[in-house]
Amino acid sequence: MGDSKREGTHGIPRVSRWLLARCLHDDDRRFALADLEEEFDEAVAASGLRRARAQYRRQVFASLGPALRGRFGRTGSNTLTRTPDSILRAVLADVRTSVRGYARTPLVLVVTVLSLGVGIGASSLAFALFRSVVYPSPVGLEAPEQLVTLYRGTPDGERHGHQAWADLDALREGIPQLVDVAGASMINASVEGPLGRQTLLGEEVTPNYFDLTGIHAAAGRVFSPEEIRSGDPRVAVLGYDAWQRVFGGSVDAVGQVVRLAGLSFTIIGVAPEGVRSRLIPFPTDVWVPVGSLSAGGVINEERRDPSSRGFLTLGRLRTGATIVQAQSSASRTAEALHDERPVLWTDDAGRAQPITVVSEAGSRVRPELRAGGSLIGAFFLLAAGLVLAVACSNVAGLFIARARKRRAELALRRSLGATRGRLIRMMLAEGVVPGTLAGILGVSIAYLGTEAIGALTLPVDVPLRLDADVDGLVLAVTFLTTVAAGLAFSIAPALEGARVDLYAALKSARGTGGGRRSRFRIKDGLVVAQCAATATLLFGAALFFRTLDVATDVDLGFDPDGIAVASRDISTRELSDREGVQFVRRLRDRMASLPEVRAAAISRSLELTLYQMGTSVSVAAGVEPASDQLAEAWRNAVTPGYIEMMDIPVIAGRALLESDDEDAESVAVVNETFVERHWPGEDPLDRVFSVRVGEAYVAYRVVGVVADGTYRDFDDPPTPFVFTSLYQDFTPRFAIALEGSTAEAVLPLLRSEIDLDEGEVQMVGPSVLADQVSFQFMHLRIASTVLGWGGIFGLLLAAMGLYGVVAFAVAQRAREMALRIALGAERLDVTRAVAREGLTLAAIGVVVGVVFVVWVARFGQGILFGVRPTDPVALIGTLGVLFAVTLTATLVPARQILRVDPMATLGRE
Amino acid sequence: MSERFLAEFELYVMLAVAQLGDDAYGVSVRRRIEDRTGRTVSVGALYTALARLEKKGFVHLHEPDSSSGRRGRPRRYCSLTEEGLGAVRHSMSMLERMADGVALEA
Repeated sequence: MGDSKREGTHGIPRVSRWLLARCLHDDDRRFALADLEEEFDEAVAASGLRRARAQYRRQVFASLGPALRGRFGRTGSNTLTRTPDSILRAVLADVRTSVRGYARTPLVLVVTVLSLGVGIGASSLAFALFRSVVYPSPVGLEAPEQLVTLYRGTPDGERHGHQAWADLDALREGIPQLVDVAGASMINASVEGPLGRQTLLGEEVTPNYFDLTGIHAAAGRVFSPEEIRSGDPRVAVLGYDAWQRVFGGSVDAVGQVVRLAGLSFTIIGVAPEGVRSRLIPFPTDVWVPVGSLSAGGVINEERRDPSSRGFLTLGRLRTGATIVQAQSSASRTAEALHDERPVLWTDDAGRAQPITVVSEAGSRVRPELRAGGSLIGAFFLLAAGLVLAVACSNVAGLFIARARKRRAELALRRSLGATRGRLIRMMLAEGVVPGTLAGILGVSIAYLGTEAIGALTLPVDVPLRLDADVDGLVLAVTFLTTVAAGLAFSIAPALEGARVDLYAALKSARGTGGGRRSRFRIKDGLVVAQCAATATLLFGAALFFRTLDVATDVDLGFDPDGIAVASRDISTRELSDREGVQFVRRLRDRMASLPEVRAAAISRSLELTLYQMGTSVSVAAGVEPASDQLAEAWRNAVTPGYIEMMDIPVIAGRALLESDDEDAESVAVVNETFVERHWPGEDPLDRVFSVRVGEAYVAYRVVGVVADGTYRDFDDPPTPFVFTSLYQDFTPRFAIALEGSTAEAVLPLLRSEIDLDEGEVQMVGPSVLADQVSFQFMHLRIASTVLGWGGIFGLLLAAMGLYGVVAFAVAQRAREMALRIALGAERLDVTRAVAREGLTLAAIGVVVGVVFVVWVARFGQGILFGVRPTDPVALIGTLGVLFAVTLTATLVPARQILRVDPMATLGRE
Repeated sequence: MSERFLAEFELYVMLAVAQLGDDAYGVSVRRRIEDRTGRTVSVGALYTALARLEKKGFVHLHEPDSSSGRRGRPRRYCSLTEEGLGAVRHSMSMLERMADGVALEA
C-alpha cells in the first residue's frame, strides 16, 4: 500500500489505521482508508488534531466487525453455513465439523494420532538428545562469555588436549588477560550412601574452580581456596543428579560424612540441576579438591609430575580483554614451557605443542568429538525424521482414502455453494484435531523418553547418563514439526478432495465409481516413499546389528570370561616399593587360596577398559634418548600369572615368572606390533629398550613376545604394548583380578575378602570384566537398538499403508473385477493382477531405500567396524523381512477378490 | 428472489447514492445517511454493504481515470444500475403496502 506516506495524513493514529487495513477486503482497502483520511483532514481543520484522532479511532473501532464480515463473508459459503464473524470462528466451525466426522470413524482418528504421535515423539526425542550431546547449553556458569578453555596440544598432534597440574601456575602468570586459571580432572569413585553403593563420575578440581566458574550451590555451599588451604581437604560438592541417587534428594545430605573412594568426605553442598562436566557430555556427580583423593589428602608425586596431563583448564578473561590477546600470550607461554621442558612439550612429529584458547561456547564439547558427535546425531535425527515421514505419508494415504469415500458429501457441499477454497480449508481443518492430539502424545513420548534415557545406566560401573531435557527449544521444534506434519498429511488429501467431479460423484452415491487408475498417483507415490524410508531404517539397523555381531566376535586378544575385577589404592600406607611388592604378593596369594578362585593376579590397569596409561619408550638403550628417538607405547605392570589368566598367547620366549622379582634384572614382554615397529625381521628376544618413568628412563630386557590384543578400544589400530612385572615396576594403585568358574562366583569375594584400611581408595568397585569390556560396544548397541525400533515401527506403518492401498484398489475396482469374473476370468488371475500392483510399488520403494543406505554408508565406514555397506547378510535379511511383510500386506486384501459375488456387486449399481 | 429485497441499511445506501448522483462516493454517502437519519455509519459497514449491493448488481462501482479526489486520494464513485433502481422502487412500494392502514401517528 503505497498510500501510507501521502502528504496530509500526518497525525493519523497509526496502529488503528494498520488494524483496519488488515481487516478490510482487498478491493475496498484503498478507498476506505482514503475516505477516512479525507474526513480526518477536515476534522483536524474544524476541531483540532486531538478530536480528529479520537474520531478516527471511533470510526476504526466501529468498522472492524463489518469489515471482517465483508472480507470473509464475501468468499462464498453464505448459503448453508452461517456467516462466521471472524477467521477464528470459521476455523472453529470447520474443526467442529471435523470432530463430528471423527466421532463417526474413531478408528481413523486413533490410527492417525498414534502414528503421528510416535513419529513426532521420536523426532523430538532425537532432537533433544542431539542438542544435549552435541550442543549442550551452559548451566550454572557466571558470565560464560568471559570463560575460555586453554587446550594443550597432545603428543599425537591433536590440538585440544589437557594440561598438566604442574603447568597451571605458568599459565596463570603467562597470560595476564586472565583473572585466574582453574583445572578439572576426571575421577570415578564409589560412594557408600544411605541408598547403597554407587559409582560417581566426577571431577577433581583446583580449589578456585567454583570461584572461577561462578557455579553456586543449590543447597549448602561450595569450597574456596582459603577453606582448602586452612582446613580439611576432604570436602565434596555433590551434583544434583548424584544427590538424588545417593541421598534420594534428602536435605539432610549436606553436612553428612560419607565414604567416597574409601575415604571419609564431608558433603558440604549440592550443585544446581543440570551442571555438567566439561570433560564428558554428562552431568557431574561430584566435585572434590585436587589431591583430596590421594593418600594424606595432598597432591601426590604423580599429580606433580609434569608429564601427567589430566586437567581440562579454564580461564576467565579480564573485563575488556579479548580471546585474541589471550591467545598471543598463551602462545608465548607455550614457547617458554617448550624451552623449559623440550621433551614433554614436543609432539611425536617433533613440533612444539601449542596452547589454544577457545571460548566457553566452543569448548562445551571437545572440538575433536563434536564432528563425530554431529555425524552420529544427524544419523539419529534422520532415522527419527524417516519414521515421522512414513507416519505422515501413511496418514495422508488414510485421509485420501477417506476423502474419496466422502466424495458424495463433498460434492453435495460443492453443489450447495461451497467453493473449492472453502472445501480445502475444511479438509485442512480436519488435520487440526488429530494434529493437536498427536502433538500432545509426541511431547509426552519425548518427555518420557528423556526420563527413561536419564534413568538408563549402563551395565558397567561407569554411570554415564544423558541429561536430555524437553525444554522450550525442544517444545518449539516439536510444535513446528507437528504443524509441518499436520499440513503434510492434510494438504494432499485436501487437494484431492477438492477436485470433485460433481456429476460423477453424485451419480454414484457410494463413491466407488469414476476413478481411473491414473488418478491415484499421489497415494502410489506415498507408498513408494514409505517403503523406501522403511527399507532405509531396516537396512541401517541391519548394518549396525552386523557391526555389533562382527565386533563382539572380533578376537580381543584376551578372554575376559570368568574374571571379576576391583581396583585398590594403598598409597595411604606409605609403603616403600619393596614393602608394597610384599603386600601385593600376600594379597595375591591369599586371594588365590580361596576355594572358588582358580587364579588371582594383580595388574596396574585392565585390558580394554577406560583405565589405560600411555608411556614413552626408546629402543636406543643405555643413554638418555633424544626427543626424536622417543616412541609411544602402552604399558601395563602385572604379576606373574596375569598373562596366562587373560589367555594372551605367548608367541616367543616366555611370560613373566615369579623369579622376575625386585632383585632380578628388569624384564618385559612386548607384543607383535612392538616388535614390527622397532625390530622388523629381527629376533627381539634379549633386546634392551628404555621406558620413561617420570622424567627418568629405566632399561628393560625383552624375554617374551605375545600376540597383539585390543587395549583401549576394540577398533584402535595395532598399538605397541609392553608388559612389565609389577614386582619391578610397582605402583600402589592397582587392580585385582580373580578367575572362577564364572565371574559372578568370585565377584562377592572382592567385597568380602578385601578389607580397606581407613584412607584407602577403591576407584573401581568390584565388577565383572566382561561388563567393563562390553562398554566398548555401547555406541553400536545403542545405534542398532534405536534404528531397529525405528525400522520395526516403520515396517508396521508401511505394511498398514500398503494394505490400505491394495484394499482400496480392490474396493474401487470391485465392479470391474465382478464384471471380469462374470465374463469368465479366473479369480486367481484377477487377484494376482491386483497383488502385482501393490508389490511393484513396494519393490520400487525398497530399491530406492537400499541404494540410499549404501550411498550414505560410504560416509560412515568408520562407524561400521569391518562391515561393508553392501554386506550380504544385512542385505538379504532386510530384503527377506521386507518381502514377507509386503507380500502379506498385499495378499490379504487382494484375497477379498476371491470372495467377490459378481451378481451382488453388479446388482448394487 | 430473496435478493430483490433490501435490508434497511442497504435501502438507505441506495437512496443516498441516488440522491447524490455523480458525487456519490464513500464520504459523501456516509455523510448523507448520517445527516438524514442521525445515526453514525462506519466506513466498514458502508463498504461491506456496497460490495454486497454490487454483487447483487444493484450498484455500479467505478474509479475515474483521473483521480479527482483531493490531494490525489483514490475515490470510488457509485451509481445505481437499472436493477438497483427497480429494487429501490420495489422495496419502497412494499414498505408502503405494508404500512397501509397502520396508524403511525399517535
